[in-house]
Amino acid sequence: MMNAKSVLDEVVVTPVALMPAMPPGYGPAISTALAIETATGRKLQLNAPFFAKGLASSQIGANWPVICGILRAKGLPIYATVQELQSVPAPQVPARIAQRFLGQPLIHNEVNLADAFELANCNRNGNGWSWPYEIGSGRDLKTLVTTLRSATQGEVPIGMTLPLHAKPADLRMSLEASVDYITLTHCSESLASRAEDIVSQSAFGIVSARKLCAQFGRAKIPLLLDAPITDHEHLVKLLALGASAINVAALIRNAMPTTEPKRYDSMLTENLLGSLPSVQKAVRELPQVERAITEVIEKLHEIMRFSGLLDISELDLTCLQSMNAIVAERLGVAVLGNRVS
Amino acid sequence: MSEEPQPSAICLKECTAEEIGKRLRAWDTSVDGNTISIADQKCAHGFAAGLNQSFSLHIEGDLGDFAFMLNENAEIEVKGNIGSCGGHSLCSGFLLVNGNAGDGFGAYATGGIVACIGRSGMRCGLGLSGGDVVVRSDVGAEAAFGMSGGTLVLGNTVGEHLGAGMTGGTIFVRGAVRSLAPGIRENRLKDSDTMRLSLLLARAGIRAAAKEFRVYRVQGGAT
Repeated sequence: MMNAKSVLDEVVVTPVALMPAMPPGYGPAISTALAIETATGRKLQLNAPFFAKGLASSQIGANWPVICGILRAKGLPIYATVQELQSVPAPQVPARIAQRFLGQPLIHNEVNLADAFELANCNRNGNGWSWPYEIGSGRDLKTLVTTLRSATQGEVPIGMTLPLHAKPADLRMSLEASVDYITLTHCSESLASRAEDIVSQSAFGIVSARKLCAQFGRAKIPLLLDAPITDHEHLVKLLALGASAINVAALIRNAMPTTEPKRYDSMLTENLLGSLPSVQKAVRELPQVERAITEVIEKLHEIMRFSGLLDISELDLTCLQSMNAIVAERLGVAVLGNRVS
Repeated sequence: MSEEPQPSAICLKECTAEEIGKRLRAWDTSVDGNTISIADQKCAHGFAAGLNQSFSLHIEGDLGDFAFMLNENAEIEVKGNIGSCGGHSLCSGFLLVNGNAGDGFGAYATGGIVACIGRSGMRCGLGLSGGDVVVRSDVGAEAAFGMSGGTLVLGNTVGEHLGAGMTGGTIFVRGAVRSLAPGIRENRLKDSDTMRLSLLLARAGIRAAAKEFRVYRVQGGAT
């Protein structure tokens, strides 16, 4: 029986350039930083092209401050509310991306205290996609974005959440509203539920969105991909296909320990539970989560080194080749052996 | 004899809405005074968004869409008309429009009072969640769309589907209602309703008796 494969399993990363000669033991400095900038130059800086979206403090429980601390240390942002981060000690608070869902008011602190703010055109569950109720046309959307920018004094990058396979007209409307970035979300209602289907859908979705952005004059706009992808190589290939940053919440969730003390949840309060030494240790350290994030960043470095790339901006379609001519054509990459000029 | 403090009049004829917003946000009430008047406004969109100073602002002329979005504390009076979504996501303070208002007047206000002496377009009080919206004249269809809290006071006729998607809050209506959305019921006007309504009408400067109004709520919803 053949194993099910995703379209990205038919794509390989190939060397593009030679690395500068360095003494043994010294690697060249590789930059994986991504900046999401406003027109005034204010930016949200990510040390690596990854972010965490969909981790709720209520689900994570006592490990929430630790997860936040790990993300802060790695320089990755998290989607969270002000309230969720209030319990986190200041040195552990990562960059925060705030969202406003359909039918929700804009909250002054949520908007002004965010490192980036996103208008999510769906409900809290990631379903029911539509434009905000107060938007009747593209002109209204542009006015809303401009007003938001004015209310935040241009200090907060403004983004838009669209479904992964958004219609060109919707993508165009968002781009014309002068948003600073776009987040493409894999819809939980979508028929693709197998991991390989999600990967394939993400690959085609991101390639198509990137092409449309170029067509509409915003070729370099950051495209954040929110899809539950856990394979490290797939994540790097998606970055090469056009994603600017990818959600690693699924990786974090997989690495979370299913702690034994959970059994006592119903009997003991959180404070009492936290006083147990075994729980304190599990809470203070989440080595698996830290390792999972470190490994994906290391994989990115390894592939960039292999391809001879010093900056993440160089990681593009030219770094990929496919063994399958149809896949190569659909993704816009070269067929293995034929380099695209 | 004590003299009345003169409002600080700013000449902002040539300024864009963004420049006006910048000046207002940088306004220091202890130095610059707490009463400001701005004349000759001509439909600028996104006017004075994100203000959080406790000053009194008087504007002459018409304003465009999304004026005073995300405002806190300020007491504002507009002697003219206002476009769509005036007072969007207002957090606290007071906005009085002496002319007409466009669609989505007072949308998503979580606090404060948004009042209009003229007419308002459709979806007045859209997504209202804690703020109070008062309109003296007619309002269009789908007023109180998705409202979850707060009070909507409608002083004259109301369009179709009043309270569509509403989950909470209170609507007071004086004129005819074309149609109610499913699940919206007329309730008996209680003393607490009369008191609340009288206060809101007085604050908006509308002369009307609370007993002339009918009260609507969603069946089984929060008030």
